[in-house]
Formats: sequence, C-alpha cells, structure tokens
Amino acid sequence: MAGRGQVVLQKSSDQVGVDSPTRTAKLERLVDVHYAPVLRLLTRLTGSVSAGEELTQLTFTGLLQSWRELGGESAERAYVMRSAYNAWRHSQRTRDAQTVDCKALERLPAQDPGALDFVCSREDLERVYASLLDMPDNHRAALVLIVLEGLSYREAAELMAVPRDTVAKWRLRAVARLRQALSNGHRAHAETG
Amino acid sequence: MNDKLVQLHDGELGNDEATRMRASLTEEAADRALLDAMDRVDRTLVEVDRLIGPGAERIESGKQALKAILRTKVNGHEPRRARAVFRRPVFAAVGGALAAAAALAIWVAWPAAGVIGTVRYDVPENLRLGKRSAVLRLEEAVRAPWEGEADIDVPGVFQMRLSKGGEVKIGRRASEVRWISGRVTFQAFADVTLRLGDTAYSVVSRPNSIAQLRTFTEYIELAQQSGTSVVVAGGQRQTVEAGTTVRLDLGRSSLTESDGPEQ
Repeated sequence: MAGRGQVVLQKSSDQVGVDSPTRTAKLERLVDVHYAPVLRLLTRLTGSVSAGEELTQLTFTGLLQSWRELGGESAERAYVMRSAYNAWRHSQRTRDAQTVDCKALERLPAQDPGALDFVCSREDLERVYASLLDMPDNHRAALVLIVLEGLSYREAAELMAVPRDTVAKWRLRAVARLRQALSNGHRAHAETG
Repeated sequence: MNDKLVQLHDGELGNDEATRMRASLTEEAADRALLDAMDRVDRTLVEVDRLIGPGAERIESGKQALKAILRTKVNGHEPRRARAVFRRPVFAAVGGALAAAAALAIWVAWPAAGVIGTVRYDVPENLRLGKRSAVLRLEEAVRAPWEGEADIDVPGVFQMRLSKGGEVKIGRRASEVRWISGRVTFQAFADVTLRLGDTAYSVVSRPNSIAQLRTFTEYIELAQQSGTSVVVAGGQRQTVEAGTTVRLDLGRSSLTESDGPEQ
C-alpha cells in the first residue's frame, strides 16, 4: 500500500527481542518470593496499596540494576527489604503533600463486630489511620516494622540504619501518638453524647 | 509513657526483667491500664492494616505485571526516553481534529478488578495518571503527552502505544478508547470492538495474533502481523491474514480496501 496511510510493519523479532532465560528466571523467582512482602511493607509505610505498588515496581526495577547474588535466603530477604525501605525513604523526600484517603478503609463491614475479638469502631480505625499517616516518617516506620512486620528492635534498627535506642524512642513516640488519637476521639465522643 | 512498659509489650526485655516487671504490674493499676491501652492501639493498627492491605488477587495481578516489566527490561526494550515526537504544529492540528472526530470504544474483556497492566511513558508529567503512576487499573484513563508517548501493557492481553495526546479509558470490564492517535498495537487479545459514534467496527483478533492499528481522519487501518483477525464494518466481514492490511472507511462505514501481503 502506498501513500499516507501506509503501515510500516515491524518484524516480530524486533518486538520480542532476544531473551535471557537464566536472568529472566532469576528475576521471576525474585518477584515470586519477595513481591508480596515488599508490597505489604510499602503499603504499610505509604498508607495505600496504589502508592505501595508504585514503589514496589521501583524497588524491583532498581534491583534489576543493582542485583548481586547473596548467600542464603535471609540475606536476600534483608537486601530486598532494605531496598524497598530505601525506595520509600527516597520517595518521602520528593513526595507531594501526603493525603489521608479514608476510602482505603471502606472495606470495613458495616456491622460485623463478631469479626474482631474486640470492638473496634470505624471512627477508631480512621483516627488511627489518619494519625499513622500524619506522624513523622521515622516514627511510622518504627511502628510498622516492629508491630506489623514483627521485627525486633535490633532488626528494625539495622533496616533503618540507626541505633537500636533510636528505634525504641521512635516506636515509643508513635504509640503515644496513636494512644492520644484514640483517647481524644473517645473523649470527644463522650462529650457530644 | 514508661518506655520499659513499651519494651515489655514488644517482648524486648530480657526474661528476668520482664518477669519482675509483670509482677510489679499487679500492683500498679495505672501501668496495667497503659499496657491495655497499648494492646488496643496495636490491635486497631493491625485491623487498619488488614483493611488497607492488598488482597491476594491484587498481589497476583501486580506480580504478573511486574514480571512483564522486568522481562521487557531484561530483553533491552526500554521505552524511549523523552523526546519530541510530534513537534510540528501540523501534527498537533491533525491530532486535534482526531480528538474532535473520533469516539472510539474498544472493549477488552478482563476478568477481575485490581491492577490490570502497566504504563510506560516518555514525558510523565503530562500523563493523566498520577504523577509517578506506572500501573493501570480498572476505570483509569491514560492520556499520552503531546510530545512523547505512552505505552500501555496489559500482559497477555494487549499492548498499545498512544501518542499526540491519544487517550484511552479502561472500563470495569472494558477498554473504552475515547480517542486515539498515532500507532496502536494490539497483541494477543481475543475480542476487540471499535466504535465510531453509533457505528461499530468490529475487530475480532485471535489470541496470540499481533496487529497494528492506525487511525486517521478518514479511515482506520489494521495491519495484521501474525495470526488472523476478523474485521466487520457495516454488513461486510473480512478475515485479515498475517501480512495483510485492511482499511475501514470512517465516512462510509465500510471496508474500503484490502491489500495483499506486506513486504
């Protein structure tokens, strides 16, 4: 076909390229093993799955450039999680103002107290969520790593590259802030009615 | 707040110290209340985490999308960096005419919500998705920058390259193209329907086939690269074999031309 509308076809080999089966297999294993924990960590740190997914992608594409073989699963996991944490730290330096998206909590059943072993109102959840996103990054990270990720103070300190006592101090301040948010809410609720 | 209490709560104290402290708590109502409050905070936090966390389905779809991205990078097919593809005003004018004229809709069946694909782009600040967003979800729109391109990749379903402000909106179970310009490449999808106003131009592409689609002001052009597609325009129906190009005349709602194999 001639003229303006002519389609320039590409050979399929130009689109697919030459694969590197070994490297691809290694990367896919890396994703299989570490994608979920990295996404969970970054979702917890950012407060939203969407932001967590973006940083997860950044983390793994960064690993593509810097990856080196490490001895043992725990060393590999530590390296990947450290990379994820650093990606989050970097994003915090360049981020726009953080927004609290309480729609993230919309999956809460309307009335299902039996689902929990303690009564937890939507207001409490929103207060904790908002307070979590509002607190300083270091405090939130310490809280997330210790309470949600289940790391010891020492492991959290290594990941954050700060002394153990510093992590303990941040964790203390974070929990104080959340307690304050909950008790303020209960006090306001009692006063109004 | 007593930092020793927090460490007790977190299991960070040694056995002896923890035992001593627990014993003392039986006499310190205030400390017990504090410990209870910390428990409540933690449990609320865990519940928040459960609610905002990704589901298994979303994790799996994200994993597949990420693998596709990494494979692309390993194979050395980085998207082109920012460059002005369509600088000249005449091209912008053509794109604007397309925007006004075309109301195309492309339906692509997709089984589940969540992350459905990825977006790569040359000039991210002009992209309609979030500033740093690189994943595509249902009901999101992607608009290519005027100077630069956006590649949309739904692994295993289709790939598109939008340019000159071309825009595609992904519906709940459909890809709804508001308007497109430049080259659009579909790959390995099952059924696609193009609509222009009330007229449907149906392109049914077999899985694992590759076609290129271009829209112009007067016609749509489909160039089949591999596999086969069936194109339906008005009452006409035509199978498009690999290496064949078909034009759909937008003014007359019909197939107007079918070329032989491309060289």
